[in-house]
Amino acid sequence: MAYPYTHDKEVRLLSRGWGDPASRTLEGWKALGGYEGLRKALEMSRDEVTGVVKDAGLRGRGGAGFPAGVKWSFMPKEKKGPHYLCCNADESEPGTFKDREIMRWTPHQMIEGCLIAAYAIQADHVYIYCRGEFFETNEIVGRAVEEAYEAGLAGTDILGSGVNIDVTVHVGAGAYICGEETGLMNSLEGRRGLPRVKPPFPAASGLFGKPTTINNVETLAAVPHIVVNGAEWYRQWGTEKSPGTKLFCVSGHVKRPGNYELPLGFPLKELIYDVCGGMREGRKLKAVVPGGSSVPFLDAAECEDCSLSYEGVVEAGSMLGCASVMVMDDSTNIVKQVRRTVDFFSHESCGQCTPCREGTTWLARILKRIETGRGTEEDLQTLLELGDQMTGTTICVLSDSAAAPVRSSIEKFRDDYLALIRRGEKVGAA
Amino acid sequence: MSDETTERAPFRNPGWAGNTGEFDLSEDEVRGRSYVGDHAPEGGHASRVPTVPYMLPEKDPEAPLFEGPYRERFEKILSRYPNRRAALLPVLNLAQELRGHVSPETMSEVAGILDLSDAYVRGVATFYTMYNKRPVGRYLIQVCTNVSCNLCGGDEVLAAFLEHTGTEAGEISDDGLFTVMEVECLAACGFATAVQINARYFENVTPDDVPAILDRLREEAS
Ligand SMILES: Cc1cc2nc3c(=O)[nH]c(=O)nc-3n(C[C@H](O)[C@H](O)[C@H](O)COP(=O)(O)O)c2cc1C
Ligand code: SF4
Ligand code: FES
Repeated sequence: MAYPYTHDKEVRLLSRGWGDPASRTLEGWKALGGYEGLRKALEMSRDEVTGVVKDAGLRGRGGAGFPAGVKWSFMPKEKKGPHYLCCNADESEPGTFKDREIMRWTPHQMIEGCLIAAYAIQADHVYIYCRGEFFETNEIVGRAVEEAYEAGLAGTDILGSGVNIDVTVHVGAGAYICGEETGLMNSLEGRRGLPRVKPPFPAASGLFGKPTTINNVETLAAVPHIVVNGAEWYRQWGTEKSPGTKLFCVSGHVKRPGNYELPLGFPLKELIYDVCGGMREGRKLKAVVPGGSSVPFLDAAECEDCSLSYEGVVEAGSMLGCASVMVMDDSTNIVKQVRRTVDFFSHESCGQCTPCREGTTWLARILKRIETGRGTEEDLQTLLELGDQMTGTTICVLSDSAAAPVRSSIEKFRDDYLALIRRGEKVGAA
Repeated sequence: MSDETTERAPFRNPGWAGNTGEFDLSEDEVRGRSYVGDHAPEGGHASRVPTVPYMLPEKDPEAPLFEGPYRERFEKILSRYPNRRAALLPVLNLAQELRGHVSPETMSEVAGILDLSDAYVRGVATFYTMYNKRPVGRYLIQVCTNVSCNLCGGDEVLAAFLEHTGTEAGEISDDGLFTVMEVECLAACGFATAVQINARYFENVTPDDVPAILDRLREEAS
């Protein structure tokens, strides 16, 4: 197929059809078995649908890894008013580039997943919250939703089942924090995208104050496959605690960066050295950020035995997050990259919580000072203390996310910091 | 349209990583142009109305809010939400599509249309980075300098765009064509460096590609 790089160790379940323009269309998606999942789900009871997703052990792909079926089961069984489903298509965690690929190559895969989930949780309306920057992708999704309406797969009396589900593509306007689930709901309501204090949780009071479930694009895209083929089938891949396949977004200093769909639990080393063709010529591995900007660094030794499952990456010393594997070789200025990461969080902090608003600004300032050779060793201590104050003290985890790479890089690459600090001392003395 | 873009395919950055692997798709196929088709002026089915791009080359800062097909699109947007407030973002998008930027006057007008206060709309509009608070060039060029792109030379690509347009970040070039800015991760990190130009993505951009991209934009504009 035309997709830039593929590898024979891949299990192409969600990425089947990528690189083939035909699979965008309703017809093309049906040729791949599309909408069989929806047809089957509508013949099952709502609890059966939730049950099979629960049994499959599908975990949320938006970063936190919460089991999707369990989340759905929190929704009220007795309906007192509208229920909503939000599809989180705001993909903006640095290092992550999988949802956009699902959306632009197989939009119907996501839409079918949305409709099945909406049926299971009795949602009347699905809002697909798309990242504003994805203009081209969003137009493709929009056309696909329109096709679904034209074919009676969305709207009233879906496939003659008597079930009504509306779907609306909503487009954001640039704010990372709108990827956070309650920030997203505020944004959808026409407010600033400020995360809400929880509880109440969305299943009790979410979008427009109504029971709401929110899932990531990749989570929802896996649902049709599970409904068609069953939980056991899905569990043939992955580990006990992390079943199934996952899209790994590999970026940075490997020969063949890109998206690879692999069973969870795949060895990190094999991903880098086999699937991605290894490091750039003449370069050695220095560090990996395995789950997007929000997670701690791994040093080369920690990568040795790291298995890419939710539990495996924790064991190695980081988190799987969205499986956004950023690979850095020995030419990398770690301090600069940490500073760039913190700049990002500082820019994207919504400003509600003082530890986050002030903390990210201070982290960024001190890191800049060190990067430009004006830092001191005491600065490292200050950074760690600031990080502590920013962790577990705020409304959402953006604050924790900003502190994690700072702490882990100081712990694991202290020499890089010291080199810059000492070079500065020399410059100062001269 | 597709013929013309297909012929351009040797161009290195057709909006996709393809040409670093075995690339055999036309730019049109990558971008999905023929699938999406031309938007009906009134936006097609109500479910997709918000997906009409709101960063377009043609801008008219004086354009009325909202008349003709835009009125229809506005009504369709309202029909998708349980209250008027929720339509605020899509409606601001619509305003920016017409006018190119969202000025304080535009914010007030939108506030009036949706029965919200001026201050409320201003608070929301300034929260989101994609609302241009000031006019921008015909082409808004946004270069990702976040970590994955940074590792692969994003800073150099930004510098090349600034140099070849002869601008400082955020300014409009003398010919009115270009505004260059830094942007946070565009979710194309495996295809670094990622650049967004109005509604289009360009991927795998290197500093060497920059003159050709600018030439192409100049040609489109003429
Ligand atoms: C600061 C922040 C940003 C987030 N950004 C995204 C995002 O861009 N896309 C996403 O799917 N989830 C994002 N999340 C996670 C969501 O809050 C939420 O957990 C997820 O959408 C739930 O879907 P899942 O259970 O299917 O993973 C973010 C979380 C935080 C704290
Ligand atoms: S932690 Fe930061 S981003 Fe999250 S709510 Fe608080 S201020 Fe906003
Ligand atoms: S870091 Fe540049 S697109 Fe993600």
